[in-house]
Amino acid sequence: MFKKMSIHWWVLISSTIVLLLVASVLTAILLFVGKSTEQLSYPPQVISDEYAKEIEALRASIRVSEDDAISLMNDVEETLLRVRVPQAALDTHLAAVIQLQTLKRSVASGATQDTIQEELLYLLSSL
Amino acid sequence: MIISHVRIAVSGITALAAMGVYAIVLLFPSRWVFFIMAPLWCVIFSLLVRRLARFSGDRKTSVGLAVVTTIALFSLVSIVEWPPLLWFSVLLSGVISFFLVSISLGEQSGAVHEFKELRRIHAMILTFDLGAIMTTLYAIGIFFPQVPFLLLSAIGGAFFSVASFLVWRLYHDIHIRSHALWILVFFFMMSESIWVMHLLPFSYEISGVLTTWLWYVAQLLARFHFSSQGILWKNQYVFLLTNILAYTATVVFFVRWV
Repeated sequence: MFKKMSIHWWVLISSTIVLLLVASVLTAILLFVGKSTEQLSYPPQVISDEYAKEIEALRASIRVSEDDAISLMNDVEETLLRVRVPQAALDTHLAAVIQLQTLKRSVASGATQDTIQEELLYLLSSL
Repeated sequence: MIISHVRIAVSGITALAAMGVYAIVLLFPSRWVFFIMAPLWCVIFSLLVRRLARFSGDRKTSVGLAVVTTIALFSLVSIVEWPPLLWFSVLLSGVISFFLVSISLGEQSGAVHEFKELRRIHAMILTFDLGAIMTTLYAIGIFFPQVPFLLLSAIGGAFFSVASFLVWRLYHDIHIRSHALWILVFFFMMSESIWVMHLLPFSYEISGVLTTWLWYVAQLLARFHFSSQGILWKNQYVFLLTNILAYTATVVFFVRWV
């Protein structure tokens, strides 16, 4: 390998040094520069506000919705799984998701559209 | 709701069209064919993905991925010389196009096990794309010495920085404005690495792979840095050490120095 090398040693050494310098600069940035964006973009208050807004929007859409029970529950499930949950609401949120699964099973046993709509609003009222 | 057989049919037709386009470029090897088909297919494919991505949400990432992938696949078919590998590239372009369209048509899933896999597929396709694009840039640098390599380094740096942003977006809710500095840092860092790598006595395929390897580790660490936990250095020591050893071993023992 080295006997046939077509470049000078100084190219190899200086190239290695430049690559190491690039790596050092990145390491320094990662170690010392800036806080994590997650904390900057999502302080707890913003998460709580966005959560409250999402849940309120969901309640409003359920009240006026004329979709069938399954679509309604799918919408609620999609939102509950997607939304960023504030630390303080984790347990009630989880409970709501579990209740929703129970509600989904109750459709098979003949729950009506109105019952489901009411149950969903009741479920969301705890959040 | 897009039902699954429609999804498979649309993805399949797009995959066949993509294979057809790449096959035409191979069967009629002229500059005109290449420079007409490449931008045309890039526009058609990205517009198609843009339209389909309505169903799955993040349109910007999907379109970005479609554009970078199309450029990468055209780059690949233009530099591969071995015929079986060329036709394999055509087949590969069909498979990748199928996945891209299929992912765009899929509903946005809240299930962790589903979106984690989709993110990985996206990140893998992007890494492959960058490998192909970098190999092409090094090949251009070797076969067309009149093209200033500084320009090629800048183009490569731009691809790396855009791809980094696309990967980070898969994991964090970030925007160009908030991360412009990071994108710029990656642009300069990778441009410099590309420049250094082209001075070393490696073939263009190896240079492409080695540069992409550096980028992969760097963007991964930056991605961890953006998370709420930050980088857990204790967990990363083994990963970094393994990579440094594997990289050095590859360069010293496996790569043919020319």
